[in-house]
Amino acid sequence: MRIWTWAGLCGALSVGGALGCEGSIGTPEGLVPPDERPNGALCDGIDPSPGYVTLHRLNRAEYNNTVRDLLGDASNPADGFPTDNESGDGFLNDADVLTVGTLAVESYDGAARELAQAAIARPEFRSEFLACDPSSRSVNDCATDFVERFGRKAWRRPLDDAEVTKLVRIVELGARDGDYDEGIALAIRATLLSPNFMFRAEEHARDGVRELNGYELASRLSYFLWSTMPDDELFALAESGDLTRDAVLRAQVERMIDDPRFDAFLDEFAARWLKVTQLPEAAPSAELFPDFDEELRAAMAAETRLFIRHIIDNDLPLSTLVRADFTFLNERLARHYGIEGVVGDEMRLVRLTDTTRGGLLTQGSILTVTSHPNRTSLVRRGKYVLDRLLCAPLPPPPANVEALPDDPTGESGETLTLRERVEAHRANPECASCHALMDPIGFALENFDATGRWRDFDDGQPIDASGELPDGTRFEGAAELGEILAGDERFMTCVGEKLTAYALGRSLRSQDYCLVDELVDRLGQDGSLRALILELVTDELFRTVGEQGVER
Amino acid sequence: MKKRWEISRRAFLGGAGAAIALPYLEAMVPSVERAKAAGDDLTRLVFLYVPNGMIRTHMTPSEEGPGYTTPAQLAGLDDVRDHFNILTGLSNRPGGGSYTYEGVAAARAGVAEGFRSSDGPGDHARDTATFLTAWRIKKTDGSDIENNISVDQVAANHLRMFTPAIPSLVLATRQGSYGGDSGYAPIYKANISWTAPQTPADKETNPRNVFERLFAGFDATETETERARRLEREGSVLDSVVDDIATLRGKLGTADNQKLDEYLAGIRQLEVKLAASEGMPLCDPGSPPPSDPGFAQRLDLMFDMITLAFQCDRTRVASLLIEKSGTYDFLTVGGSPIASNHHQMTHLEAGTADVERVEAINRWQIDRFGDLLRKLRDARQGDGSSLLDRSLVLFGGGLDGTGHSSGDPLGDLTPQRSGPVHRHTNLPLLLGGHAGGVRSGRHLVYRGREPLANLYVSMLQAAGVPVSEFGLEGTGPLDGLL
Repeated sequence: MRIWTWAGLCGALSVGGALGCEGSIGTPEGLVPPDERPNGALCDGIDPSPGYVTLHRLNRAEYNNTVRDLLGDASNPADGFPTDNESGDGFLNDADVLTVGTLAVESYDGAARELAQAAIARPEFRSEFLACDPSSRSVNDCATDFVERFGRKAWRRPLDDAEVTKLVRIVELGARDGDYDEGIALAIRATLLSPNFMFRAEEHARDGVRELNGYELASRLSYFLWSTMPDDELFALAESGDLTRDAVLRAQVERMIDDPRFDAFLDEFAARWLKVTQLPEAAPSAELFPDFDEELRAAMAAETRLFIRHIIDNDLPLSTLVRADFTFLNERLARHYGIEGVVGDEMRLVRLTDTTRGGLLTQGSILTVTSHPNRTSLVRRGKYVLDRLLCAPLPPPPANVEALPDDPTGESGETLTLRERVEAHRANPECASCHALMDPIGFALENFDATGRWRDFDDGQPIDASGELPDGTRFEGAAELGEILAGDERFMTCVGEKLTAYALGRSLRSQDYCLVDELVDRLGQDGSLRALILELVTDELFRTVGEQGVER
Repeated sequence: MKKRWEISRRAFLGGAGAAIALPYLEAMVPSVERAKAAGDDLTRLVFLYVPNGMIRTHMTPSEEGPGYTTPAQLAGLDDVRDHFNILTGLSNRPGGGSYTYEGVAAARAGVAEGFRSSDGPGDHARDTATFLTAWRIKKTDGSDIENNISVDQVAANHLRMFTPAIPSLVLATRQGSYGGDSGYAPIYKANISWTAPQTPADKETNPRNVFERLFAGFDATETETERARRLEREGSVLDSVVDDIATLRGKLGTADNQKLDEYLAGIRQLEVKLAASEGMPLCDPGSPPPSDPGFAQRLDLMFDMITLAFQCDRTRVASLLIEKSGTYDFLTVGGSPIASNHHQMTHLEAGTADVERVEAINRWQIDRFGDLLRKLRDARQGDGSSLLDRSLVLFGGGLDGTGHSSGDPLGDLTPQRSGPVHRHTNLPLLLGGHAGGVRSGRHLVYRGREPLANLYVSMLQAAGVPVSEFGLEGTGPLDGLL
C-alpha cells in the first residue's frame, strides 16, 4: 500500500509548522490532498520495466479451487491450513507476506496424502487420467502417460524428461507390491507437495525484461480472475502460443469474466477490497439492534456481491459503484431498508425510486462493518472512504498524541473528562486537520444507523447529514457524497491501484502509480471495471517480467 | 478416510469439550527415570496471552509473599493457589516502541542498549507482537516487517532435541482476520510467536488439526516390515520434493530462494518427523475433538491438546494467543454476552459500567488459566508425579489495564478513567507450575522496573536453555522465583 507521508499529505507546505492534514486540502477539484506520488511530469523518464514478483505460493482459496479443478475434489482441504497473512490492502495474495512455515508444509503434506487417496477412487479422475491399463501395456508405459498428462495440469506447464522419469519411478516404487493405484497415489502426492505445484514460478528475465510465455500468462490470468488453475482452453492457447496475441488475450478475459469461476474474483478481490469479508465478524448489539440476524447478514453480503456482479456483467461505468439507481434486495433486506413491494427470499434487481439509497456507501454490508457494535462511527466511515475508495489512507496520528479509541463525538462520551480530552484532541491542529477530512464524510452517512437502517433521529436529536469540506465544498447526505466521489478521478485511480496490486499479487511500488495513471487515463471518464481489467491484462505491466532483484 | 487412531483402543476425549478427563496410562508417558538419566529434566513451557491488557485493581493483593489475601479477581483460583505466583511490577518497554532503531541494531549486534524515542500509536500491534519477543517491532504496514525470535521458539529450538517431530505448538483461538493497527502491518497483531525477525510461526486455530498433527501416523500394531515399506515410500515423496526445490532454485531470484529455503525447511522437518516416528512413545490419545467448536469450547480443547501433547511427550513448548488485541469480541464468554466491545471498554469511559465489564472478562480469562493448571496438575507422569511439577505456565498480557504511567506497582490501582491509555509497564502476569524449582503460592513484587524479558531468561534457564540474556532488556534471571 502506498503510505502517505506527512510531507506528502502536507504537499508543498513547509513542515516546520504543525504537521498533519492541515493546509493540504482544499484543492477545488476533489476531497483529497495532493501528495508526492509521481504523476504527470514526474512520470516522464521513469523506468517502465515491470519489476519482479516474488515466488507466489498458492493461498488457501487458490489451493482449494485448484484441487477442485485438478482432481474434482471439493473438500476444501486448505481450510485447515494456517491462515494466510493479509496485505495492507486487505488481500490474501501478496507474495511477499505469503510465508511458508514448517506447520504449513506439514499441512500441505497431510492434504496431499488425503487428496491422492480420494482422487484414485473418483471415476471422473480415472477416466481423465487413468485410461491406460497397466496389465495390457506395461506399468512404465501407463505411468509415463499418466505423469505427462497429470503433471502438465498440476504444474501448469509441460514437464521435462527428467521430471517425468523421476515421477514414473515413484509410481513404480509404489506399485512394486502389485497395486498400481498405490503407485499412482504416491506420485500424486509427490506432484502436489512439489514446489512446482505449491508455487507459481516465473523465471526472471536474464537481461532487462521478457514477455511471459503462454503457460505463465495463463496462470497469471487464471489466478487473477478465477483464483484457480487455467482450464483446458487456456492450456491449449498456452501451448499453441496464441494466448500472447492481443486479440486472443482480450477474448479470453471476456470469456473468463463471464464464467462462474469469476465469482472467486468477487470474493477475493471485491469483498476484501471493500471489507465486506468482515461482515461475518460484525456483531451489532443484540440489545440495540434486535432486528439484526443471520438472514439479514446474508442478504447484506449478497446485495453487495450481486450489485458488483451486475455492474461488471452490464459493463456499467465504474462510477456506478458509488452512484446507482438500483440495487439487489429480498424481502428481508427491503424491509430493513424501508423499501416496499419486494416479496420473497430471493434477491432480485430493484430500481430505487428516490436518492436516499444507491451505491456501495448506502449498503448495509459496508455501513455495518464501518460501525461499532453499539453505534455509528464518523471516524471509521470517514477513514473507510479515504482509504478504500480514494486510496488516501490518513497517516497514523502523530506520535505525541494519544489515539482516541473510537468516534469521539459519539453519544456515549458525555462525561466531562472524556469530553475534555476529545476537545483537546480536536483543538490540537494536528488532529483537527485529519478530522476535518474524515468527519464530514462520516456525517454524510449519519442517516444510516450501525446496521444500515435509515433514521431521521439519533438519541432524540434530528440528524444533520450536512458537511463541509475544508475547501468549502458543501454537501448533504449520502447521495451528494456519492456524486462527489463519482466525479472524483481519484476514485477511478484508486480502483485501478487496488486492482493492479491484486492482479500482480504484490504491493505497488512508486513507479507503478505512473503506469496505473496511464491505464486509467486510457479508460476515460465512463470506463468500466471490465474495461479496466482488459486494459491491465493487455498492459506490459501484467505481461512481462523483469530481472531478479530489480524491484521497482 | 479412516485415520489410524480411530481404530485405537479407547476414546478418552469424547466430543463434549468442557472438563474432559485426560488419559493416564503408565505405558504412554515417558519414563521419568530414563529421561533424568539422559540429562533431560522434562521441563515444559506454556505461554498464554490475553489481549487488551487486564485491570489489575482486583487481581493484585496488597500483601507480598505467601500469605496474601486472595483478591476478588483470583477467587476462582483458590484451589490451585499453591501452584502459581502473582508477578507484579514487570514491564516490557520495547512494547512501548521506546527504542531507537539504532539501539535495536546495536542490541542485535550484541552491543549496548538503545535510548528512548517513540513509535506513537499502535499499542495493540505492539501488545501482541512484542509480548514474547521483548523487542521493538519496526513500524511499517508494508512487507518489510521486523521483530525478533520469541521466547517460546528459543525454547523450542533447544528442546526439539527431545521432541524433534514437533518442536512446539503455536496456537490461537481466532479464525477470522486480525487487521492492522495505526501503521503497523496486520501480521504483527496476528502473531505472538516468531521463529525469526521476519517470520511469525504458523499457528493452529482448530483443536482437531492440532490433534491430527500430534497423533497422525500413530499405529501401535505396525510390523517391522510394514514400517520399512512405509518409510521407503514416504521417503521417496520427500526426496522428489527436495529435488524439485533444488532444480527450481537455479532458475529464480534471491527473494524467491528465501521462500524456497522456508519450504525446504518444512520438508526437512517432515523428514525429521518421519524418522522420529520410530521412537514414538506408546500413547493412546483417544478420539479426536470436534472440528468446529465455538470460542469457549475451542479454548478448552486447546488446553486439552496442550496437556495431551505434554503427557504423550509429543512436544515440550506451547503458546496460545487468546483473541486479538484491539478486539471487539469476547461477546459470549462463558456462553452469556457479558461484553459487546472489549477493546473499546478497556479505554474505560467514566460513568459507565466499563470497568466492571472488563473485569468480568478478565475474571473469565483468569478462570480459564485455572482450568489449564488443573488439567496439568491432574495429568500424571510415569513416576506418578504431576505434570505441573515439571511445567511453567505464563498467563497474562502486554498491557496494564489500569493505565497509570509509572510509579509504585502497588500504588494507585484505581483504573485511570480520564481517557484512553495503554501502558506497557506493570503488566498483569501469573506464573503457574514448579519446573526449575520455582516456589509457588506467592505474590512477588518488582519495584525496580525489572523487565519482562528477565522472566523469560528464568523460564528458559528452567528448561535448560543456556542463555543469560533475552530481548532488548533481559540481562539475567528474575530475582525471587526460586
